[in-house]
Amino acid sequence: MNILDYMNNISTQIFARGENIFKEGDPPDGTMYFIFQGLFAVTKKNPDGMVEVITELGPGDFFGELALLSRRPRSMTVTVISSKARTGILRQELLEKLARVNADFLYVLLRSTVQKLHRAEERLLSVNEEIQEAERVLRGK
Amino acid sequence: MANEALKQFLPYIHLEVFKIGEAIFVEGMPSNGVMYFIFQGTLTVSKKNPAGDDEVVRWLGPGEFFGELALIEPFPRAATLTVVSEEVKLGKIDKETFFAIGKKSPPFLSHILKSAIFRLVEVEARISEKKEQLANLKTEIVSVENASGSGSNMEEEEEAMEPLETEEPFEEPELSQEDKNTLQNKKEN
Repeated sequence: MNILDYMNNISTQIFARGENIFKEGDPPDGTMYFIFQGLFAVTKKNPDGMVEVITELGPGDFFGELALLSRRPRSMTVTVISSKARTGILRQELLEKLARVNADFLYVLLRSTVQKLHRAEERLLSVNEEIQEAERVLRGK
Repeated sequence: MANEALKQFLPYIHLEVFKIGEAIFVEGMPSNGVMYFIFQGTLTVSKKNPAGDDEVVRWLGPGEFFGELALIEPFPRAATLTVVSEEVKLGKIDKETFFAIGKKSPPFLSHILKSAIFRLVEVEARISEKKEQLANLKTEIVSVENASGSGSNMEEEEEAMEPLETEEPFEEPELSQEDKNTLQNKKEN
């Protein structure tokens, strides 16, 4: 099945390189996005102010569903890194409609969420390791 | 909604009973491609902390699911599930049944999607919390390094410092190299 079949009727937006679709901390606005074309960097600010690249996204990927469904501020910044990009916008109403009737769509979204969850668990693990290492260093001082 | 969907599939759901103390699966174990629905009883979800001890992160009871994520993507089990009531009655749902339920009832998938998203939000919040902790530790390391001077450790420093304090009168100190470094660091931050 092709997820694009369900995306045909949604409104699209064009972005240029360097543009942010949304920024970390932005209030939730009831939208998520589907990538038709282009490459995006997903970044997050560390407490020391350094920007960390969490992942890259490309055609067929979704983003923004976290804030939409949890109604929390955007947890990361999404920026266009290709010369041009095109996204489809899924608003809350459309998502809810799809969620009631379309199992394939939900399944694709579920898989992408589970993959993100898995990557997040790995990031948590590596931060925990860094904390342990820092505590070891500090005890040795 | 999810439970309604489940009712139609009850004939295909295999019932299993576990006793107190038994683990349904263990963190890190490869997925056996099944998820569970709790009919009766209580379980804990635990994860190993960095020190290697199991830490309870959630409690689950009747009407709740678990193990669905390893079924969607074949990742190893992310947590250990242990029975904490006298016994639990679980409905075992294999991949085929899961897809059949999902096709028949999108709200069932929607329910699982929402729970996955909330877990993701939880993990992201935890990452932020831990990063904060790491940043504080790093600041602490830097300040300890500055206080003890470069290259020397705390014990030597303490021995050398004590006689100095009693024998020499206190005078207004000039800005030492360490202080300059600290100021420099502050400016950069």
